[in-house]
Amino acid sequence: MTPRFVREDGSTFGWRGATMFLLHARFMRGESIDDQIEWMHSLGVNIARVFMRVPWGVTPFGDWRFYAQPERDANYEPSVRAFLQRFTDEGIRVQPVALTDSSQMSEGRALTQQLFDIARDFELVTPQTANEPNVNGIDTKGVMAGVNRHGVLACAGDYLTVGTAPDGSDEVGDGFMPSPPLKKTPFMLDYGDLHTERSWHQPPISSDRYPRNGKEPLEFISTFGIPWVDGEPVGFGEVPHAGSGARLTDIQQAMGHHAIAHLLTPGSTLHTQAGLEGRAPDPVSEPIQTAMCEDISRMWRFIPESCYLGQYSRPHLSPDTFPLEWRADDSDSLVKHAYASILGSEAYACVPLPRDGWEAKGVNGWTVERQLDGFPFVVHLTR
Amino acid sequence: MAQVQIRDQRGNPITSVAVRLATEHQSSELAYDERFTDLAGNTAFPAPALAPSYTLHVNYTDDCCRRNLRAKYKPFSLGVPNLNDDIVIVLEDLGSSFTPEVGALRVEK
Repeated sequence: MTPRFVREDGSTFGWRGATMFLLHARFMRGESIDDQIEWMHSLGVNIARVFMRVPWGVTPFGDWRFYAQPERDANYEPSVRAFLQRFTDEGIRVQPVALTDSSQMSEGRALTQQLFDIARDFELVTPQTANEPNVNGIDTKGVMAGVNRHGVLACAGDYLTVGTAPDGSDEVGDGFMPSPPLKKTPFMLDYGDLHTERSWHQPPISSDRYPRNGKEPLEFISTFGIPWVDGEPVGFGEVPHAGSGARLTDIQQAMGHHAIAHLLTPGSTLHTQAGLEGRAPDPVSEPIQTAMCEDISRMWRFIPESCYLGQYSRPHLSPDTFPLEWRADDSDSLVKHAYASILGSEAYACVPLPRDGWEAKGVNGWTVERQLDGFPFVVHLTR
Repeated sequence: MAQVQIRDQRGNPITSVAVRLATEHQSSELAYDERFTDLAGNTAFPAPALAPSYTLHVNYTDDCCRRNLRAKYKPFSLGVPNLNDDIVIVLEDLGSSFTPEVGALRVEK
């Protein structure tokens, strides 16, 4: 059985997230969050990822010193409760992240306990202990020791793995699954939140990985047997840049990444510069982020939520079932990969960055039913 | 003078949507005039003597008053051979895949 998220009515939940890191910070200081809610509704975002504190201080997008230790403000807990109630009323889930920087173990534990004590009163909340704990020096296992989760569905935030490279040295999987056997597995709770690798990203394409590594959570699902989501892929911005805080402006690459995540895994989170700042992208000054999110939203409507429960298929692994014609030398895709999920008589497939002149042609009894407008490499087939 | 009426699929007027006028086969970016529909979903362009025919581009840009029109309606372009005719354009509602979430999630392994 494929691990999945299940709603109370038994339906499969597909993760259609949006980064909204500073949204509670804005809410706490009295700003309206109506625009952000409206934006998420318009796109079909069903879960927002929100930071409960940040060590960022003064930034080009505001002074967040008050949010370094917001729990010291008597208004903090009432604010968190009002914030989560607003999301409950709006029908959007929240993934609040308790810790975003290294802090004393006891302090981190107390903050996390406080979050779970609040979260148990709000059914739409699925907390995360820490953001990128391997980067931020947070011992999530130590933090969670003794924390009462009250049965609230949660994830730790760890994803760092260490495997054995062919030469016997350590292969550190920072955002990807290294070669087995594993020497280190991440600390896990109910589900995992993988931040797919981005350090290689140099626009334009300098690697073949980003347009197809939305599949990476599937490696973690297969290895660890719990759902993993693509929780913070390379962000969308108005100007591309690499390194920490990498930003991408190429929707063709991004569509490949996110479509594959939604074919094969519970889903992904729209990570944007605006969302990092706790804002909806401004259509006038941030047209690229706006358009990229709208395109991904159209893909969400194209691929059903439960697609990740289908049979995994790719050209060479399953040549008798892969639904699209595929050249033996893998030249149909500039990144030389394609994936499909087969659900009985229906299939959804993605050929990221197809070659010039590529056309979707069904094989193995499959017929092309529809192609995503503007992105014909995202295909729905029937047989 | 061409009266342009912008409607949704139920026939309701769409207000504040951007309508751009370009010469035939020119893109929205190369349009030479842009107007926004009024509360009745209408706008008008005087017929200039620039070209024998034109292209109208609807909802390719954003009005500061309404931020989500482009997410709500699919942009639409229409060739217009005669700018003296009244024109009705129906925009396709992109809808929303949003269904309110209810109740706690659990994991099934």
